[in-house]
Amino acid sequence: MWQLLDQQIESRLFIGTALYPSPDIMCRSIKAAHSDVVTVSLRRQNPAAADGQDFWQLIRSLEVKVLPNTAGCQSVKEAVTTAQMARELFDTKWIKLEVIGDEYNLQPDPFGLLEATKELINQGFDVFPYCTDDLVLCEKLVEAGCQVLMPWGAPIGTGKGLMNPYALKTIRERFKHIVMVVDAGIGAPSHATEAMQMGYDAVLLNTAVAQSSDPVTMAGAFKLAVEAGRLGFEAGVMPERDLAQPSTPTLGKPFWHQN
Amino acid sequence: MLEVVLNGEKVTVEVDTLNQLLTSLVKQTDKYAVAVNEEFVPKASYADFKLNNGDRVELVMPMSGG
Repeated sequence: MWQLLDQQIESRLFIGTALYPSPDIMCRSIKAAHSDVVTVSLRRQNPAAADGQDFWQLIRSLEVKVLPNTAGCQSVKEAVTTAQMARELFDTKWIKLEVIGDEYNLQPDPFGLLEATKELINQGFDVFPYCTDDLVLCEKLVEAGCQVLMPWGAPIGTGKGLMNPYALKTIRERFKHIVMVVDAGIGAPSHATEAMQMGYDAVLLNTAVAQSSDPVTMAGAFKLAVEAGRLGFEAGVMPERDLAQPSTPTLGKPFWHQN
Repeated sequence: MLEVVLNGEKVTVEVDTLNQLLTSLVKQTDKYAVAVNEEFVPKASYADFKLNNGDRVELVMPMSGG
């Protein structure tokens, strides 16, 4: 178990609820991932269709903690209002805050993100900011009161993995007492392992599972990958060397100096 | 009669308050949240919230997300 703000959490794999082939596969994937935290959103819907109500019943049946997002918001005002609606709708002060600055690669707008973060923290939210791996932005978010940072691995839905391991390592080292989650861009289980081996507290992903050929099996693969990465971090990965060093003892090797 | 924009669509309604509008749209047990003219309106304020011509009402419900 580990502490995520006011919650005791078992899993270090947060998972999204979008893009699955069916609601049943979504539920089975979340169970296979053993995730305690799932992301959800809020959207305009035809009330008569009741899709949102059915979705909510499914999520409730999973007995997981929900982390609502402000996905698609492009201004501070939109993001703040969406967060306020999410707080009432999902009865949680947690918000995955997205303020998108570029619609092509869905890159966070650092300036809008910081402004919205300050406003929402003033209003009593626990802000999980979806941010870039920029050290100074992360510093400003922590100064604003964030207890969680969620830097991207790569743009949302690309599956490119950790594009800038140096930057991700740097901010992990710098903010030792902040909960840090790599969010977005993870495509393969090995990407999740890499993030966890760096000491990240968790990873958040969606497309990598939902759009795989077999989401339920892939969810299980990510569960194992996250656990492996965490154990590797806790055990301490050996330092890299430039030169080879034999692992088998040279002393007593037969034919030593015969040539 | 009022003309409001509900989730991006112009509609003509015979209501005075937000609560009256919502009563005709959603069930008591539904999960939803509302903003009017980009400002969040808490549930406790629905009954007193007077709608005006041209108000933009956003009615949102739970949805999958990443």
